[in-house]
Amino acid sequence: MLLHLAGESIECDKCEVIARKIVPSSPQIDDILGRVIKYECSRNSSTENLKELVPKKFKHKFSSNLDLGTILKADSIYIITTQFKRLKLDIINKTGRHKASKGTINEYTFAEIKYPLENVLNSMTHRKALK
Amino acid sequence: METDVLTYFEDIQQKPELSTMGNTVFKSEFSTRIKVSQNFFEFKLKASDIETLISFGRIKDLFYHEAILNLIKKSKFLQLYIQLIENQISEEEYEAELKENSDKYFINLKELNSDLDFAALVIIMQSLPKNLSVDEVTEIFGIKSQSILSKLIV
Repeated sequence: MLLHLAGESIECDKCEVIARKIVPSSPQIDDILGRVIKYECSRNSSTENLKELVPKKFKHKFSSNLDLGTILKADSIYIITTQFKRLKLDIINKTGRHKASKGTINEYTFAEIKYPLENVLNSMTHRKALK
Repeated sequence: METDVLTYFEDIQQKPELSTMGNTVFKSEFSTRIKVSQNFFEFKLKASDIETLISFGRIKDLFYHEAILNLIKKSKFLQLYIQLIENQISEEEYEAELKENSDKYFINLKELNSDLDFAALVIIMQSLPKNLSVDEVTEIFGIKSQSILSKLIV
């Protein structure tokens, strides 16, 4: 399943992150999750659920998608994870012209779309105009 | 009751009742007439309104304080992260520092206590030159995103 709208999110126990820019943002303390680190992924970002939560129940946002293989694709995504370790990033060829950073988080991860891709926003504007 | 402006302010200070706002205590309701030249203006002011105005200012101040502290925490964390990337500290030292001095780096996320809190936050947002996303508000003011969204939905 592919999610691409602003506010759509996934929660999982293992997550693959691909983006041209992945930077840590801030450490936070949440009542339920405890100590977490927030990352910001921007410029053509995507995250994929590689391992479902056990038990399969949301921890951070009630509307999160929890299914294995669900992918978020957006211009900007933010991630919250309980993994303290530095996120190891590999450089991969994302498109013919651009390279991207790829990392895998092996602990609980919440990812939410901040800004959708430009073409998604354009198509939504077009649909509204048609209505 | 007919008083001038000065007497009106004295009334507020001299007639306390059991209505608490921190340590300040106000009379529950004032009704007064202000004499300005030959004209008379009559108005009523409830103590709850005064309390609201004062607490609103205090809430805004608290949000500003929280924002400054959180931005300091964030910059300290990023400095630590840069040290790690530059190999000035090892990964073990980085993790240990985060675990041992969590107060120094971690932003505490809290719930919005009341609608007044939310109103103060909205006014602060409107006064900023940049539109902030929900996660940025969460990070800067230390408020849970679900708490903000629930206020927006209701």
